[in-house]
Amino acid sequence: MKNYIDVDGLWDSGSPSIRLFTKFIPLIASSFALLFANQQARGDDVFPFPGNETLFDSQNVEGLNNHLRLSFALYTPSTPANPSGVYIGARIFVVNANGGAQAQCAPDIPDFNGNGDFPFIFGQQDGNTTVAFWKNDGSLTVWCYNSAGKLISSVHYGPFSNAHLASLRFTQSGNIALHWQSGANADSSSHIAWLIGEYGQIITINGPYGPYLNTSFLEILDQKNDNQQWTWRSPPVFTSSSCTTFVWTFKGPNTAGHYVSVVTASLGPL
Amino acid sequence: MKRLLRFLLALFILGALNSAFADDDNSSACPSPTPPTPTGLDPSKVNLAIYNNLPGIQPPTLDLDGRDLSAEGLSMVNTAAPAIVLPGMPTVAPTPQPFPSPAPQIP
Repeated sequence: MKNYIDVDGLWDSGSPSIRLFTKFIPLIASSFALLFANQQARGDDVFPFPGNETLFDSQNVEGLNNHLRLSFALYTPSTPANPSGVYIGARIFVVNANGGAQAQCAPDIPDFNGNGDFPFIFGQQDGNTTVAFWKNDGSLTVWCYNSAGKLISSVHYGPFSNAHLASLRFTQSGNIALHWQSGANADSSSHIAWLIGEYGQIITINGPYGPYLNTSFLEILDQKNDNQQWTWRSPPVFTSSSCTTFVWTFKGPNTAGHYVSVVTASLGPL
Repeated sequence: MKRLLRFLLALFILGALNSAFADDDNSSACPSPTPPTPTGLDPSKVNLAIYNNLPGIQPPTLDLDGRDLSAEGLSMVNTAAPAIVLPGMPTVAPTPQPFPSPAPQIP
């Protein structure tokens, strides 16, 4: 606006219509200011819900930064043939610690499977939101939105012909522990563990391990310090008087993402 | 008629001044040496070396220049990709081995 003040002298000496126009400039400017101010205020406490979809609260997750991530299931409008609508995906909102709406994540997470699977959601310490979702073909997608709701990373893993995803869980530090298994039966399968970060990037790879004779695979746990524990039991059928539980603790992943040492603990029989 | 001419002249001068200032703004703007990385993105967290040993597996697509990743992200999921081999995992049913003692060998 400052640029136009210089021409005021010319306009003041002009016709009444021009002077009238110049009088309207502050009014127009103040209208725009008011409009943007209203939008800013709306952004603090109003969710821009669409009008043609029915939304149901599906899950809420408090992030490590104490900001809430609200996920809403998106349904098509009700029809006589389908009164409850059809699930088409999920929309995530970020709510700050004071209860104000901070961001709407975009794009929405589509329901590729058509069976109502909800994504896994985790609120990171840095304000980002990591979501993981999968398709029926066994492939996995990880998206990361920043604190403004903008998609900043995307990665897609699989499908794999020789493995399927046996488990997915967020660790306490916001990473995702993936467990790939070669067959349907855990005890007769080989296992590989990936630890992936908030952008979906692979941090560590461990395995393959198994299968082992007369031994049952139990679980893989990732610790806060990135150490990883694998647990086995022998013999497979549990009896407290004869079973031994083995715990492998893998330590110190190197720059290639592989652990460099392992400690074994055996517990039992009791 | 005279008023109309003066009005048109004023509009012309105003437009010319506006263009001049706009040009000045463009010429004085310093070109950004690197595209702006969005808030929350730290590319150094991605260890690309890991992917060297994982043939067929792509690292994450990062928004390094502030572009809208939506279409790329959705396309990544919508595209039906053929199944590939998970590196490191056996491609045939593995034969059970004796349980490693005292510790497993790290691959």
